[in-house]
Amino acid sequence: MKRTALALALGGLFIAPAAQAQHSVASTFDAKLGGYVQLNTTWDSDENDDDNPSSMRKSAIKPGDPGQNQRTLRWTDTRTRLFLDVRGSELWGAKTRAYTEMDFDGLKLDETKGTTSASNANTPRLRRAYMRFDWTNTWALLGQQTLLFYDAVSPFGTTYIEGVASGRGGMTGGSRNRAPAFFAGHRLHFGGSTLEVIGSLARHTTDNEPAGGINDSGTRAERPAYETMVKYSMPLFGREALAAVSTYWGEEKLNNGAATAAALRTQKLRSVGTGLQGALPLGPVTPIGAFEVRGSWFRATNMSKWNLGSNASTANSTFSNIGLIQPVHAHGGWAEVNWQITPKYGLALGGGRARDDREDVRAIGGTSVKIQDNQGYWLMGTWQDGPWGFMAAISNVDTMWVQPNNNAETRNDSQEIHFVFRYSF
Amino acid sequence: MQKRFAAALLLLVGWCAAVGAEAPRLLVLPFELSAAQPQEYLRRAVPDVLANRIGQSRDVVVVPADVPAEALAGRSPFSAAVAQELGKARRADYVLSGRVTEIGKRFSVDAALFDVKSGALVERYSAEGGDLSELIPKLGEIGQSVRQSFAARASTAPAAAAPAPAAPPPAATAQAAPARKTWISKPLAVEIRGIAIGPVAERGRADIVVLTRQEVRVYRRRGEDLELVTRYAANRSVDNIGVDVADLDGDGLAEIYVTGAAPSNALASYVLRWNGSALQPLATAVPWHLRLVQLADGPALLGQARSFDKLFDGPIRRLAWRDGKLVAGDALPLPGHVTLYSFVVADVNGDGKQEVVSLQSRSPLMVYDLQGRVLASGAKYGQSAVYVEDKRANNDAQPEEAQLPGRLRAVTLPGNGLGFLAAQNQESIGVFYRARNFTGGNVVALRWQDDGLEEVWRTEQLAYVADFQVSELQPSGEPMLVIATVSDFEGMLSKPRSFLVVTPLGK
Repeated sequence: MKRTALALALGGLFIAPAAQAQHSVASTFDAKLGGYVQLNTTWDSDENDDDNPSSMRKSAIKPGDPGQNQRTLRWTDTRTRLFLDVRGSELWGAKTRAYTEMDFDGLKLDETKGTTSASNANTPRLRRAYMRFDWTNTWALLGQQTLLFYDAVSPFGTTYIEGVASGRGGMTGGSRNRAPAFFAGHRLHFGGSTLEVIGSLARHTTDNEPAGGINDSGTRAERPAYETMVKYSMPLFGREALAAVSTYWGEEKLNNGAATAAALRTQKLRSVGTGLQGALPLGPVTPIGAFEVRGSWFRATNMSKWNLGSNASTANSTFSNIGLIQPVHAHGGWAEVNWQITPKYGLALGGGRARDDREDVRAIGGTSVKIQDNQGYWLMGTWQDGPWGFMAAISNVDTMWVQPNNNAETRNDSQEIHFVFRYSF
Repeated sequence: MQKRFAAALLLLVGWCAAVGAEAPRLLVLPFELSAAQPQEYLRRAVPDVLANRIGQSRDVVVVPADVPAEALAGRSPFSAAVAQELGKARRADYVLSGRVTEIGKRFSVDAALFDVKSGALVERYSAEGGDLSELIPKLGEIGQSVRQSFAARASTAPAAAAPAPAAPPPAATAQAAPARKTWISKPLAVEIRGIAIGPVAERGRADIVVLTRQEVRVYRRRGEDLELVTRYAANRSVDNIGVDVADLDGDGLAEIYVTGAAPSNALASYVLRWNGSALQPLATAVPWHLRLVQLADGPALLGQARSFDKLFDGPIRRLAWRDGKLVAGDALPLPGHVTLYSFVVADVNGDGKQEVVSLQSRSPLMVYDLQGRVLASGAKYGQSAVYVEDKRANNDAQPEEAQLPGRLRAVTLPGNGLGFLAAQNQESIGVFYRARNFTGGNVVALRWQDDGLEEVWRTEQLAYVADFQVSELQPSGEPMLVIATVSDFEGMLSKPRSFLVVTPLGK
């Protein structure tokens, strides 16, 4: 009886205010279900057993590999995407939003470490899930979102194909570049110009090694990743030019994979990056369209997990040299010229490069060749009409490997053609 | 016979109303006489009596009948050409002409009504009686029927006003506004995105500017028809998303202010004006959203910028012409979330202070004070089929799109004081972000009641409402609600179809 009374009392506490506020609350929420169905069809000049069919090839095939010249045509729908976008009532003067997004590009069969794969396995995956608060010029975000670092500008066709600037070409388009995080940003207006300052605390990605994995929650990072971005935009030719600088700092603790605490040896290793990004309109909008050049440059250490460079550290797979491991330094970037012919048609021509420091690569040691220099070039065209979208792209990836023990070089290239069909809803 | 007359006149009145809600101009010509011994005074007396009777109505303007009988000599009173010639000369919309026939001791009155513009015979009338002593009463009855019909037209519930269907407002505020006649244009083979009304191509005229994705068209109503005056094709790279007209240079002709969305999240808005034979650009590549808004100190052209990741970025500013260029002036002190296209600043609740009523994408109607505090919220209005990229695609995140919120206007609602008009479009399935299936729409009149905005009336169900305006389509005419509706959207396999609907603003 008491329990019932308590339940009723508690229920009343919730029901009464709800009833009073029903008129306004009920009408202030707006929930939309959206996404798209997407088919990626990809032709490869050489068999590709590493990259997702909906991603651009990260590297060329090694010379002499059995897959060389084995042409393939791969199909996948796993990049099909669903989201639920809820806009709520104003809270403390802020517009509120809850966003949840998923696709079917999650954990591949028999792949517990989240390594990339050419598999067509279609496991659901949570891509983004966050709440966002927008005041007039200030915003805050809590939840899983794309990393702030190196995220100001991206290539033209990036929503059709991930990793457009090639997986090793310097763009954060990989599957693990979204992380739970706190974001806060503020915009300052100076006449027509805008300066935005953003900071973020995020989970530091620590996978790709023992105790890591695709389901990593940051187990080997004692501290969060600190990210900053300063973004400046100004009117130019009646359009907008943008420049941004961003930084990343994270620290993980590597271990030797020991079975007992007594045998455990650890070492901290930092991931540090600096990125410059920009977009520059090439003249005003003309009757034949609008031209723009976009680009990015980065300098990073131990950030291959973010596709910034090809090698993370000088560690070998057994961690025998814990305590002596050094991060691999890398630099690179991409540039692209866009021609938006009409609102429906667009073309883009671009190229990217990521280059690890040679001596760092050699310090890895061993006789297995390691990618040291990677370049990619692409030409793509898109057509968009209402919900319908189509993209065709041709790309070339040119890779150079180094054998650490003798500094010997090997080079090869591979080509891909992508056709992407999309229906958005 | 009287019933036939009344029915015919009702049709006449209905048709007249369809031509336009402003009072039509009617010219009554001298009647032809056909008798063994014609009595010439009747030639003038019959139309005089009719004009006198009909002219007592406030809903029709009878043009002074100064046409000499000689002008009709030897010409049939039932000739459309004659009616057009004489009607145009006296700027009449319609001409009533006829004949009085006397045979023996009986007479017959036969009349015809012509549309001056098209020359079409609208309706025929006939009446007969005994000796001529019955003629005046018969003409009086005709005139009386005409007056009553026009009066009925003016007082019947506006077709544009049916009771609000869902969640009716309190009985004290819900009004069944009088039904009135609504005029619907011929179908236009375009998908309308916006409309504006003003003297674009001729001073004193109310031209209707229709905006489509790629074109600006100027129409003018002539009788029942909609006449295309001119058209202007925009830059192919630009998607037109909004339009207003205003005579900011004071030359008596309104400029057309078009907001254009350009690639790369840019704006390439432009301004057009009539050069005597065509529309010509006055400014292009204007990087502002443009909107004409009625502020406390009068109408003002306002602008708001756009950026990579915000469809509306920065404050709303006044724009003014300086050295042939549109330049930004002061920023309006508005709550931060208010965006350009859909807001009104007014003393909404009668407390002597200014409030801001705002429509925003995917938000209900909001009422703020000038400090940004939310005073009230309402239902959702202004749903639109115009999508504009809000935030660029970034890495693997698809671009975010925003529905451009529809127009919001403050008006004086007859009998209700200050009110607000907004469109409300319905969807068959309203849960999807991008796939929209509009089933119809209304224009809704709102006013402050108790602690929020409540519906006063709504138009009858129309197709998707793309935009609306309130305008006196004729000088010194009553305010009309002009609504642009789209019944078929442009698609890969479908052709667009839109209509203009004109209805009295009503109560």
